[in-house]
Amino acid sequence: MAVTGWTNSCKVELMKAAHCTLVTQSALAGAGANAAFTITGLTATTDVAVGMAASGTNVAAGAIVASIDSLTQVTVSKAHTGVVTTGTIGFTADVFKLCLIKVSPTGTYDGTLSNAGTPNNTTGGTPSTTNIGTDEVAASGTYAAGGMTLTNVSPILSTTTGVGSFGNVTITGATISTTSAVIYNTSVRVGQATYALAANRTISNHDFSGTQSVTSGTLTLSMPTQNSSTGLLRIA
Amino acid sequence: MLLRLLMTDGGAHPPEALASMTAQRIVDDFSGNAPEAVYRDVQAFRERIEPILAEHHRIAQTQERAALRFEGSSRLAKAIDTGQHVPDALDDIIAAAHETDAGGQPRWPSLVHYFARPQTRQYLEDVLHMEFHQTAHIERSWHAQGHYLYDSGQAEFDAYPENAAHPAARAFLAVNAQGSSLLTLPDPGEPQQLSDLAEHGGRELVSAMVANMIPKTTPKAEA
Repeated sequence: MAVTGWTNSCKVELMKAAHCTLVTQSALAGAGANAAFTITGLTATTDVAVGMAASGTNVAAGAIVASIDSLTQVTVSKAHTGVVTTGTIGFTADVFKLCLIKVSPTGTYDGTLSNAGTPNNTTGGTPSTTNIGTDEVAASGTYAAGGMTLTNVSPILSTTTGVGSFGNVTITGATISTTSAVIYNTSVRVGQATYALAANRTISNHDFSGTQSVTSGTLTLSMPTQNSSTGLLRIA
Repeated sequence: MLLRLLMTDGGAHPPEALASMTAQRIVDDFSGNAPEAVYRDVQAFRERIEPILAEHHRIAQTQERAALRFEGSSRLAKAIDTGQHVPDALDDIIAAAHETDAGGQPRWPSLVHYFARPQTRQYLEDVLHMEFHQTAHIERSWHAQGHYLYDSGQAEFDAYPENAAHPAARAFLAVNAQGSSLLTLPDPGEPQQLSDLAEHGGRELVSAMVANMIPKTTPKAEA
């Protein structure tokens, strides 16, 4: 049985600014000259964070936001490869996934799980505190190995509590039996002593109070309401 | 931190199941740590609005399913328009909240103050946008896989493989699986450039799909 809650490592990593759940912004208007580092003419830089991946036509691969310069301008880490096309600009925060755990898993799913490792029902390897491995359910329908990518929802303040969340997850055309879920961050934001553990850092475990099954159907995981009493991730 | 699961074998969720989830999300906002009298009102109110929400989910589901059948997979590239469903559903919920008994007194007296708050309407709008967005997304997911949903919601698997082969379907499924990380993939031939995402229907299509994954919400006050 999993233990619902933050993983211990995540609590520390939050202090290191190691997880960014800001919502993805895409198809933004703006401008960037060839070989320049700035993106200008943005409508707003609200909820753009240093470290977010930048994208767009002629934005260099691997460019990240290096600084927030004003309400309408950011500087990125790599020079544009041509004139940046307005309406194509995007900023992407960390990419999180939700991985479903199979019935009678080998590993322990509580605060000690620090890394998701290589979730894969057939090739993932031995489960441990740094690897979900073969404890993941088998791929089925729209559920692929590694889990479902979550849609970031920007954190809010609810009374005096900061609340983070994600969009609901829907899996269709699937046959799955599962007992819990793990949310983890696929992005590399903070280095680790073992480089292989820099990605796939766990956020939380969620127990389902028994086996939950669907046959050739739809499985929806509904995130709790984003408020101070029920929110998925809360700091009071 | 509790995740709620909804499972339906053989096809899409029925409107009643979707309504139950929506109703719970609505009452979550005002039922935490509630005293006994408030708790009773909340549960009664939830029972009152479930059939209202079921009808609106039925309409949203039916319209999206019919539109997909008529337009085909090209519809997957269009924005999910929850704005056509939210106003009526919101009005019906607010009306239910203000219902009175035979004596002209509020049916749920402990909820009167809550529903008088402007931020309550904002919250309800957000919830309805999210829930109707999910309803449409489920329909689109079945369609993108090439499966056919009958009016009952039950599926015929692999009925239309051509649906799954359409660029918009490929983009939908790719974004469903990989999310916004697709937008930052490098071109395998020219690593300094971002991928044109041709195998997923192109960058413009994928970008539209990524934007489509995010339900419309009311802008929140900054912390």
